[in-house]
Amino acid sequence: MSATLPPALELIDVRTAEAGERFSLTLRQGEIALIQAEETGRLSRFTEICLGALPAAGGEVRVFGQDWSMLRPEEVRRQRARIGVTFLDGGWPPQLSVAESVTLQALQNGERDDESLRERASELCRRFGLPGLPLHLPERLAPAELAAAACARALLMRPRLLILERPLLGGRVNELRMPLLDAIAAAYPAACVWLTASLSYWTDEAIPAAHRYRLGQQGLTRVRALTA
Amino acid sequence: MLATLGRPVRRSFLELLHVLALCVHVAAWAMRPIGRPLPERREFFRRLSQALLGGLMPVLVLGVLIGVGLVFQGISWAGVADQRGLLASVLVTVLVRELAPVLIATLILGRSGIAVAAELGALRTSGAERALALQGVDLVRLYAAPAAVAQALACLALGIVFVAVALISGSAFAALLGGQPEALLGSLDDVLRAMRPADVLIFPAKLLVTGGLVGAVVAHTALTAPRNLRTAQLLPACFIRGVLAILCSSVALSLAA
Repeated sequence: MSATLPPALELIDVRTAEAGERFSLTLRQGEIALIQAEETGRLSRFTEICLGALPAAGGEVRVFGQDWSMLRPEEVRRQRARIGVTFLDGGWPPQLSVAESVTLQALQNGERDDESLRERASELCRRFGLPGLPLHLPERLAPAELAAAACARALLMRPRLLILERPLLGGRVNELRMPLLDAIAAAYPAACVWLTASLSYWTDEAIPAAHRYRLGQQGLTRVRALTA
Repeated sequence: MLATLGRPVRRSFLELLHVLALCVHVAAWAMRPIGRPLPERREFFRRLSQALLGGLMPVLVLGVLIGVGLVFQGISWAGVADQRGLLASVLVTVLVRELAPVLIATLILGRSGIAVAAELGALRTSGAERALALQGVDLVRLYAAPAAVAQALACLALGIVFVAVALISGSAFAALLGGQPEALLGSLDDVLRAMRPADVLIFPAKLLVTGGLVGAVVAHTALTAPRNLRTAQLLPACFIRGVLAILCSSVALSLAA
């Protein structure tokens, strides 16, 4: 199946404005790429490159075979809506309830049935250890609860590509690790880019990563094998 | 030399085109009969109540002040000069067509527009704006369009209240202090009679356009501001642009009429 489909994410010799940074990656449907960086700012920048928000100085960024630079703004939004993302800083609008934020992406991109969407979101939240879909403002939730809600938000639209920016908050919400791995497995054939600053997660053999990369000043560097 | 001169002109022209495009987007959003997602509807009603309820008391006070300062004085002097017929058309031109839209839109800008700018500024600095954009959420549909439409409607409603309060309070003062008991109903009747069909159209049109522009310009300024711009720098920029938009649109509509 994955051989006939275009790669979920393809970075073809991408260069940014920062001198010396180069990114090359091919991630097929169903594959997981585990990427580690010391600086969290690099992880955010990498997410922006993957989602076409940081224009490349050279090379191509393709998602499901489509080059971001060739898409019109409306198409860019539609394409991004097919990608589930968790954000380093949460990314919760302060004046919307967590429930509204979780369902917002789906509602703005064609989903009409608010009721069934909320049911699906509640089910996902329960899977990540929450009692249901949180109706409070984000300021009233603990970081661990927001991290769980963020995973639910990323998976709600049944995305074909997941980009997870430090989903376990650097080990502070380790209890999400197993539910998240189960959810990624259940979302197959969705591809997944797991970004982390933690070496322990990056070397975690339980994460079935097809590729492991380091993100540094030179850009993306592939690591062929982990030493014991 | 040419590049130095042309750069700011080109940038300003592009900004103007962006704002016009945003206005078209807002109008399209407003015309959409059904199917707006719940967060957009909720944002619209939140903005509407913020602009209407927050602006009502200042509009009443402003109405009384303008009533005493303009309408009462006008009635008094028109009575002295025996020019009551002329007074009505002066009130229609000055108060209804020119003053009301500019004053009410400026009040909406200060009371509600700056609040929108501050919230969008907080959204930017908290990283939520980035997250929403990366999720494919249309920020114009979520924030700018509901704010602009709510402020346009609030401006219309408050403008009507303002004119009514100014005329009634001015006439009431004239009746009480000027010893002209017939002034209260007479001047209201005269003002209504002095309104031509163009005035009946231009008054709500100006209120809707200036109110909507306040929302669109403020949202555009806040959403396109550089990430490192502090809120203390963003708010004055929004205010200045908002005032310019109000004055320009008011003059343009007056000339068009």
